Amino acid sequence: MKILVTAKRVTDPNAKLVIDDDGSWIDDDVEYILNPFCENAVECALQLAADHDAETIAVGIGDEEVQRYIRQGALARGIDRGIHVEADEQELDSDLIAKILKALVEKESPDLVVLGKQAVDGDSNQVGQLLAEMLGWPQATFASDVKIEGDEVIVTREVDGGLEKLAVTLPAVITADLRLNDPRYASLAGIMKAKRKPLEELELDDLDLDGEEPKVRVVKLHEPTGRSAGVFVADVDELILKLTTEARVL
Amino acid sequence: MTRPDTSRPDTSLISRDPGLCARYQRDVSIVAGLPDAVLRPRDTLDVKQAIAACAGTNTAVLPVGGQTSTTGASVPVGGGLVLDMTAFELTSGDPEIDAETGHIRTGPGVTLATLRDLAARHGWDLPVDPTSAATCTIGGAVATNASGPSSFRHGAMAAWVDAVQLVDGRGRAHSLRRPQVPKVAMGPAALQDPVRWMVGSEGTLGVMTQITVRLRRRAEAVVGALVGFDTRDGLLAAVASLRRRRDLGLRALEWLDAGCCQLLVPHARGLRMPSGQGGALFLTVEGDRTLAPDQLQTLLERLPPHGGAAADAQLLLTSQQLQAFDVLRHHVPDELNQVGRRLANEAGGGKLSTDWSAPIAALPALFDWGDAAFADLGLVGLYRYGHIGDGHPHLNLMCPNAEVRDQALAQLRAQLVRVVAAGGVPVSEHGIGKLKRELVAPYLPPGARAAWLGLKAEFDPAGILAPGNLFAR
Repeated sequence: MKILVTAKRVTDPNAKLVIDDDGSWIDDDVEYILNPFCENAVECALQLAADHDAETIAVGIGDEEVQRYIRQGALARGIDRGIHVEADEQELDSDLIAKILKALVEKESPDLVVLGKQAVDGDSNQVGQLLAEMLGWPQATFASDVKIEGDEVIVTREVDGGLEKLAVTLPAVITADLRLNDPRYASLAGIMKAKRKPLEELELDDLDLDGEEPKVRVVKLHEPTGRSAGVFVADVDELILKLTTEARVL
Repeated sequence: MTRPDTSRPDTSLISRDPGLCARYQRDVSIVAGLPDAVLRPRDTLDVKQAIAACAGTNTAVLPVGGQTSTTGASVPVGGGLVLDMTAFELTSGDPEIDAETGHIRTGPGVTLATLRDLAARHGWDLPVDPTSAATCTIGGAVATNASGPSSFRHGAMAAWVDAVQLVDGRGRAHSLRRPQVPKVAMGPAALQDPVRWMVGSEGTLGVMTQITVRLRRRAEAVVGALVGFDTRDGLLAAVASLRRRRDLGLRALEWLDAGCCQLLVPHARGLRMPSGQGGALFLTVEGDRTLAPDQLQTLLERLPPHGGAAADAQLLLTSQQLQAFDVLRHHVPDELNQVGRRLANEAGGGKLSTDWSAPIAALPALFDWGDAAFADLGLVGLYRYGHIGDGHPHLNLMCPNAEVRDQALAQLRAQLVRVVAAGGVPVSEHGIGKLKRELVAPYLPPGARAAWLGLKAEFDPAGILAPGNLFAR
């Protein structure tokens, strides 16, 4: 069995993002982390691999720095090998990422692809679904429990109002939710081993995707409008007056 | 001298509502005391008027913030007026940061976490991180000279306070500033920095109304590791070894003994708690984004000769992982406090804890002595954790009843004698408050109490400010 898992680098949600002067992108001098949902996907792949003797492969897409997150976030935790697809992150959208993953699936022939349900930077929540559609594979998104039984994956999904249990036939695409598992921490030994694990470097033309254009481009970024300071009111009457005449919510 | 301003009514905001007063009768310690009234000052004028009024009637005044004291410092034993300073920020405006020079000027009621976040957003660090950072106020942190894991590298609150404004026990406002030059020769060293008089004074000299802290440039990265040890002596030897490489950006060096590690197993979520008899060391390193992990690795390589399982060390390489560990380790005091309260309610027992620190070299003998002294007392648990890099472990004795508690307390006092003889101090970070006043008294340096009384005579001659805190009058 072979499991392909995503290892996307995202900006640290705790970091203060600074927008470039021309408003086209964020300043690159910022702390990055492995996407938390991808951490769940990596842990899922490792647990399935331990139970089913599977080979595991982590995929990251972006500039050369992405390799650090493949090694520290995935290989150091126990994923067997990595693939880094060199690409300009400003020129990527969900559609093109799904196409890259599809090409890798065709190259590697995994039985299962596990992705984070979304990346916490763009919050698009599209790649898993697009990939399943492009491959013509069954999909089970927002997984909170995953088991392989024979040629099926039994997935419990978190949906509005409760849990839904699905059986999808392998090969399949699964996207991981936060409650799927508690991602393990990398050990020092794991970090050392990760430095020696194979990490294949590919470019888009290696996957016959050279010249592919994203369908969605970021046109402009800007900071949220600042909130004006609140005021103290003397009594309820003044409050009602202000809500009526100034805030116009009554 | 500035006379109290009496130009506007001073009682309109004072509440004697029993329900409101009851909210202030406890802090995190076991001390309890009901105030007669509560005032939530809006500004310095409110504070001045309240203190002037109380001075006239010899009424006790206790400023409180988040009431996170573990020593009863923020409990109004004996009644009086509580000044709840948490509303102060609302009318004094948001904290102001000078992002060029790295300073924050703030009212006293802002939480430490708020200021740390503000600093971080501008690329600065306020490296004081007590367990209570999310709920303690900067006023309380300054009043108790708060510290935390990062104090191993960056010192306690006193190192970061540049200036304070306060209202003294006569209702006078003062603005005190740390000398801004490195060379000062105005009398004895202890008297050269008036800000130091206020840091750690636990509200006994004045009510702080504005605080200016300086900041340091934020490190690009902080990374950490959790490492298990076979034996306690091995762990202590490793601590001594790590301390020799502070140059590698070592920011914090914390210990969880084997019992504490077991307490955390149900909460660990992905983290494997070490199971060795020596417990676990948690260390963090700060530095350059690409170099910090290598610095951490170099430090970890020093541990195997001392029985440290460096290869199995779990690495915390992101701020999320470090935050998660911070939340995790707080389960230890939370659970021990919970058990302690239950034991106290059931049979008058409870948790006894220490706050002493001693030179690292003295720790093995002190721990061995403690093992023997506490072994036959009938304790239901003994847990050690804390700031081992500073020689500052927290010992927690879980006493099933009052009899065991009294015996354990006697042994703790006997241990303090050994701590001080070894060059240590009886209290290291939680302040003295009301609980540790008697405990500390025998170990005060000559003249310390007299010096404080001298300051009291100047700043609070009537003795209305925070009575019971710090030293007996």
